[in-house]
Formats: sequence, structure tokens, C-alpha cells
Amino acid sequence: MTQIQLIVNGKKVEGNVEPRKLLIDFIREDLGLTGPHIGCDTSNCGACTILLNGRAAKSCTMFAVQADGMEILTIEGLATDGKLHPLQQAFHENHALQCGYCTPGMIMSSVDLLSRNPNPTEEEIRLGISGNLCRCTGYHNIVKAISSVAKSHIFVSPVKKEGRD
Amino acid sequence: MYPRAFKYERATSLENAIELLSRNREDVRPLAGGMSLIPLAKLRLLSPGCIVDIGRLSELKGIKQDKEWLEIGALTTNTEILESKWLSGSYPLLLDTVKEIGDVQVRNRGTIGGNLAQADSSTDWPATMIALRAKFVSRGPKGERIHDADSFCIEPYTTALDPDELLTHIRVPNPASGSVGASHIKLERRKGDYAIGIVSAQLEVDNEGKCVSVGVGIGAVGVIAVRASKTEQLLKGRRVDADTLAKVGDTVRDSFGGMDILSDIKAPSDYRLDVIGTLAERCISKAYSMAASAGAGQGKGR
Ligand SMILES: Cc1cc2nc3c(=O)[nH]c(=O)nc-3n(C[C@H](O)[C@H](O)[C@H](O)COP(=O)(O)OP(=O)(O)OC[C@H]3O[C@@H](n4cnc5c(N)ncnc54)[C@H](O)[C@@H]3O)c2cc1C
Ligand code: FES
Ligand code: FES
Repeated sequence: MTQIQLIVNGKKVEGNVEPRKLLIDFIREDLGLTGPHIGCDTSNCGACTILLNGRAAKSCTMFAVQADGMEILTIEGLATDGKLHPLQQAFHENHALQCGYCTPGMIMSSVDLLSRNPNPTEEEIRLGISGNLCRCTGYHNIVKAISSVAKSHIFVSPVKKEGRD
Repeated sequence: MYPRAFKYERATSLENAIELLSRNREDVRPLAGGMSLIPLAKLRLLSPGCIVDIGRLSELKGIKQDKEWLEIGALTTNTEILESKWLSGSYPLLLDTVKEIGDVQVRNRGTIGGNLAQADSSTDWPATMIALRAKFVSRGPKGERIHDADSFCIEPYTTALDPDELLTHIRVPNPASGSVGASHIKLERRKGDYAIGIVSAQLEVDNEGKCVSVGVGIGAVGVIAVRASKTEQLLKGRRVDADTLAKVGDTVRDSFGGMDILSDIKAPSDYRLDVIGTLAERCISKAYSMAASAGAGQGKGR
């Protein structure tokens, strides 16, 4: 077992993990944060996407030990003071989810995208979420939601600058 | 599925990494971004008894320019390369290539060294490094070695590296002139899927529009990435007109010698061999017009 320490959604957490424990399972089972989902378990669907030191990562394709000392943000850490993040609000308003299984990952990839590129074109949005599969919506309303946040300049990046080198 | 249990070691320096690899050399793998190693370990296609995490070795990260080359640390992520200030000017092929790699999450974690050490003909970097005539620097217990991009991959998923040797840097030669054109073209069914054909080319032209240097690499057709030597010979010293372009496809198909050609449910080998000719024509044509217009722009400046 290996001792790890990391910051998850702003809070310091500790864990004692087998080296082969996947980060997604550490987050879901050990920390009880079930927002990030396991869709494919083969690095393809992006349902498990979290931010690792400010950048989108598929947590099913990482060992928890690799994240030792790093900062993680999951969908649970996005709302502030009980208020939805503008991207969450926009997904709600634009009907950008149906079953909702892909949504936590989709939103975390959108955070990565808008943090780097506040004014993406439609093509850039589609490329930005190309690591996330949605089996329900056909993507149209997801693109609309992301675009509405960009156009109204209400995006607030939860990523601290020093995390993004 | 979970990988088989393994011993985990985190390297604290390059020296320490080599020592850890040597100590476990019978059954060990270095872990960089994990974007290939972890999926394979989860499928239990690869089950090393010991994994040495090299992900934090800052001496293997970053890009710097030298008199002769651009030197890229093996642990530089594809995102760091995409966002690097160096790329757009003299190294258009690096930019064209890295844009094609995977999706954001894969680029954020995956490293250029891991991509090359994976020795998979269907990923984007091997063909590009052949086109650029890059050199790879490695380090092991016996010291440093330099490899040609052409001979680095020995067979699918096997490189010239010993188990306790690490790829440390990739050296991309600086172009001789300003009239560089490049293009990286990949055929895939959807973004992030396995490639069906990859052509990567860089050309430099003189002020008459003749090709003075040509590099063409082909991926996802042969079981390892190869140089299209016949195509390079065809183009060298010539202007690329419609007649020349029409011969490109056949010369590309001559690049594989007796090598096995990849084949799967999406693209059987005869389809791959056929389509690669068309991809190569498009790629050369695009690279040439870029080089020719860069050359013309320079001429006016003078
Ligand atoms: C969904 C998905 C889509 C993808 N799409 C693309 C794509 O479109 N184009 C593309 O090119 N690639 C693609 N990839 C592959 C990805 O880019 C590579 O897996 C990645 O670049 C490998 O780098 P890594 O740092 O993750 O290596 P790892 O997975 O950590 O390692 C790969 C192999 O190299 C060895 N290794 C790593 N670093 C070194 C080193 N410095 N010295 C010696 N050996 C080393 C490891 O032991 C292992 O055997 C995709 C991957 C996924 C999961
Ligand atoms: S569960 Fe991680 S990519 Fe699908
Ligand atoms: S809303 Fe069901 S998968 Fe996207």
C-alpha cells in the first residue's frame, strides 16, 4: 500500500492505496465523490474526466499514486456557495443533457476548453469535447450550452493560474 | 479491469530512474503519461512486475532551441508542444502533427517520448520524426546513445532501447532556409480512432521552386512507420507539378519492401495500400504550395 496526499475540490485528503488502484476508483470509492462516472473503462468516453492541476484528464487512465501531491477538481467542486457554475447552469437551460451520464465529464472538458480559449469557434468547441462521448443528445445542445457561456462572457475559470503552467 | 498487481517506484531523478530500471530490468516498464501503458495493462496485454514512474522528472521536460536543432524533452506533453512558442515559425510539421493527436485529455497527459517509445505505426509522431530526420537521445547504465528516427523502431511495439534505458530527448534539425512547407495528413474514421493512413512530409524549396530537401514518413500502413525513399528521390531537385504529383502514389507504395501491411475490420491491407497513395499526393501538394509561397514571400523581402 502507498500513502498519498492530494487536494480535492480545495480540501486536503489522504489515502492509502494499492499502486494499481485507478484514480477514478479512489475518487468514487474512497472519497465518495460519485460525480465522475465510469463509462467505458477503456480511455475512450471521457465520462471519468476530472481536472488534474487544472487540465482535463481521464481518471480511469491514471493510477491514484500518480496524482499524489496534485490538485484535483471534480464536478462536485464546481458550484460555489450553493450556486451552479455558469457552465452547469447553461447545460440545464439549453437542455444539454438527457440521461446525464456524460455530463460531469463533458462539463470538466468544457472548463478546460474555456480556461484556455475563452472565445472558441463552433469547430473549436467540437474538437475541445472530442474526448467525451454522449449517446443521447447528438451534441447539438451541448455545443450550444458551451457557446452561450462563451458569448455572454460569464465563464469563471475555477483553475488557479499557477496550476496551469 | 484492473491491471495485475505491480511494484510501484517513483523516480526522483534521471539517474535514480535508470538505477530503478536496472535493478528490476527483468520485468520492468517506465511509466510516462500512461496513455498507452495503462490501457494495455488494464487489458492485461502487458503486465510488468515493476513500474517506474518517470512522470515527475523535470530534467526531461521542456523545449529549447540550439544552433543545429530544436531539442524536446521526452516527457514534454503533447499539450505543452501544441502551446509552445517555437512551433509555428520554423517547425510547421511539429504543429501540424500534434494537432492531430487524440483528444484534449490524451494530449494533456501523453508525452512525445512515450508516443515514440510505444513504437506503434498508427500514432502520429513516428512518421513525422522520420520525415524530419530527427535524432533520439537515450540514456542507460552504459551512458548516452543517439538513434536515427529511421532505425529506432525495430518491430511493432519494440524499440532499440534496452529495458533499463530511457529516451531522454528528441532533436529536430533546424531547417536550412526559410522556404519550408509541411503537412501531416491522417485518415481515421473519427477523431481519436486508430489511423488508417498517415503521411507526414516536409519540403524546402530554392528560389526556382525546386525541392532542395525532402522528408516523407508513412504510418499506419506498414507494421512500423517507414521512410518513403522513392518518393523523396522523385521530388528532390524538381518542381512539384501535376506530372510529378501523379507519380507520388506509386512511389509511396514502393516503401514497404516485404513488410507486413496492417489490416483490420475497418481497413484491410489492400485498402490501406490504395488510399495511402491519394493521401500522399494531397500531403505533398499541400506541403509544396506552402514551401513555394514561403519562398516567394522571402524573395520579395530581399
Ligand atoms: C483515446 C486515445 C486516443 C489516442 N489517439 C492518438 C492519436 O490520435 N495519435 C497519436 O499519436 N496517439 C494517440 N494516442 C496514443 C497517445 O498519444 C500515446 O499513448 C501517448 O503519446 C504515449 O505517451 P505516454 O506518455 O502516455 O506513454 P506511456 O503510456 O506512459 O508509455 C508508453 C510506452 O513507452 C514507454 N516509455 C514511456 N516513456 C519512455 C521513455 N522516456 N523512455 C523509454 N520508454 C518510455 C513505456 O514503458 C510504455 O511501454 C491515443 C491514446 C488514447 C488513450
Ligand atoms: S471511463 Fe474513462 S474514458 Fe471512459
Ligand atoms: S446525456 Fe446521456 S450520454 Fe450524454
